[in-house]
Amino acid sequence: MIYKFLQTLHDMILESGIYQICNGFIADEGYKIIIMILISFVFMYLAIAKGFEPLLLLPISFGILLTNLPDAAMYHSYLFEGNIDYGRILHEGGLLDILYMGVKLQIYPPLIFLGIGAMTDFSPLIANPKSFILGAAAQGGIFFTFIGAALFGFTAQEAGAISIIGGADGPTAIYVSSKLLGGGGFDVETGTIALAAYTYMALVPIIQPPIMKALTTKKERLVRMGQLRPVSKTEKIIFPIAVTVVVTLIVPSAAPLVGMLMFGNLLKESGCCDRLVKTAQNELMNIITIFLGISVGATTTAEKIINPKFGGVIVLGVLAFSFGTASGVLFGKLMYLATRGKVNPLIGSAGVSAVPMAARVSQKVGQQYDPTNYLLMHAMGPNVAGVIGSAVAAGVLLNIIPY
Amino acid sequence: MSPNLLLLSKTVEMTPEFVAAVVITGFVLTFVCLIILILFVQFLGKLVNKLSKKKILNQPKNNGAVPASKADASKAVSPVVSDGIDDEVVVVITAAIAAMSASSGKKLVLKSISKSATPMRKPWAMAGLQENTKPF
Repeated sequence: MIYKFLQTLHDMILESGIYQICNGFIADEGYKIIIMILISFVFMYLAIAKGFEPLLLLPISFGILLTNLPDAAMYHSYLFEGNIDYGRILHEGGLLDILYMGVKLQIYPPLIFLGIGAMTDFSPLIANPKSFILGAAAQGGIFFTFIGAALFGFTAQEAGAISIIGGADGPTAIYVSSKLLGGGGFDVETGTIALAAYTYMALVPIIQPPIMKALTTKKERLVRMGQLRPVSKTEKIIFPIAVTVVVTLIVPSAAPLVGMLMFGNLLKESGCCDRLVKTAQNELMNIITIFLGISVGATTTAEKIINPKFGGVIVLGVLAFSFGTASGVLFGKLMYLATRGKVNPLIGSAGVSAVPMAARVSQKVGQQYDPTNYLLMHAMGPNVAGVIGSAVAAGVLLNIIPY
Repeated sequence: MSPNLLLLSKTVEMTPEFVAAVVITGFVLTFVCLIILILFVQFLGKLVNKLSKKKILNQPKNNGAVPASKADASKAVSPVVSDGIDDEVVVVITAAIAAMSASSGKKLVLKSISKSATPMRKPWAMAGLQENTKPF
């Protein structure tokens, strides 16, 4: 009886995660698992205590924890390499493998865009359509970073996935990276791209202001912009339909993202589908956010994160954000000159998406110089234009780079 | 493999030509797409504006409107209002003071209204801005 008890105890110890980490601490790089678990704790701290994009960073960080616990068997990276057998994943995969299929098949990001569309008010953009230019200019971060990624020695697919971080749009980054890196065999994973994108998006209020201040004069920062004109319901209804048609005809690859974004917005603006709008804004959005976050976090295994290439992604990610902000502000300056001082260049930085945080940063920096200056609604124009712009840029990348 | 503009093979060498092609094509297509949208939205705005103006002109004129009677202000003492302050601002301030008087039971008198040193927005514009920016 005692022997049986000790035998069972012995077997349990051999199967435990603690034994596996200790046993292969050096030989099987068990220390990397401990580092990954600590990284997940840091991200959990940032999400809970510091409020850094908690809705996504918390599920992502918990996904990192689950995937790196030895023998948890919730995610198996080998199931997604080469030609993926989805039937096998359903039979042999763990919970996170099955949830990750939604990322791999590019289902979650367009559904998130549906929810974003149902929550977004495009009135500031319709009232001042020139904001589209700032939304396009801020995508400079994507394309300049592509050059940087090439210099770092990344492959075309990896460079495309890294550069899309400059779009400051989480679902777009996940959509593009899962498509470009879908074939497997890359040093960069969708999870790493998502992690970098969401971390930098949370850091927008820290990254952007110094660049905005460095590139503008005090006179430019004090510019007060005129009141926006009221937008009719007809315009609000026609806008999503027109954007879908125009963008899809020019860049068909952007259709899943732009199409779903605009579908969500049409549901909202039509005023006849309240139940669907509420579902898209709340239940659907929340469910997809949980699935997306935890499954993307699960892909960040030790071998993908603890390598020099991840350092490259982190450096290029911050460069992408900085370039995007700078090109938006510089185009804002051009508009300031062209309109003889009627446009405040600070709204240009909001063109990097990250709705509505980037617009809030424009407002905050503007108010540091004139507390009665309200730039928020003017900055919302380039901000929502940035969402469309980054989806278009994503479509262009998917068109040019083979995968 | 998806159809692509440059018809490249799956493994692409990151030559300067390819990188330049990605950057230039990306920039140009993104700008072209969004410029077309600017033109369309501007056209749509003008069209809707024109149609709504036409609609207003076609509406029959309202003959039944009765002009509002003047308030009995014979007993009220007008406060000293400095130049450049709109009547609507004076109305809002006096209305607020009247409401306070009614609730507190004390008789309050407004003696003067003058501009502050720092330029301010109109109160209605401020209220509108705060209402519009509340969701963000």
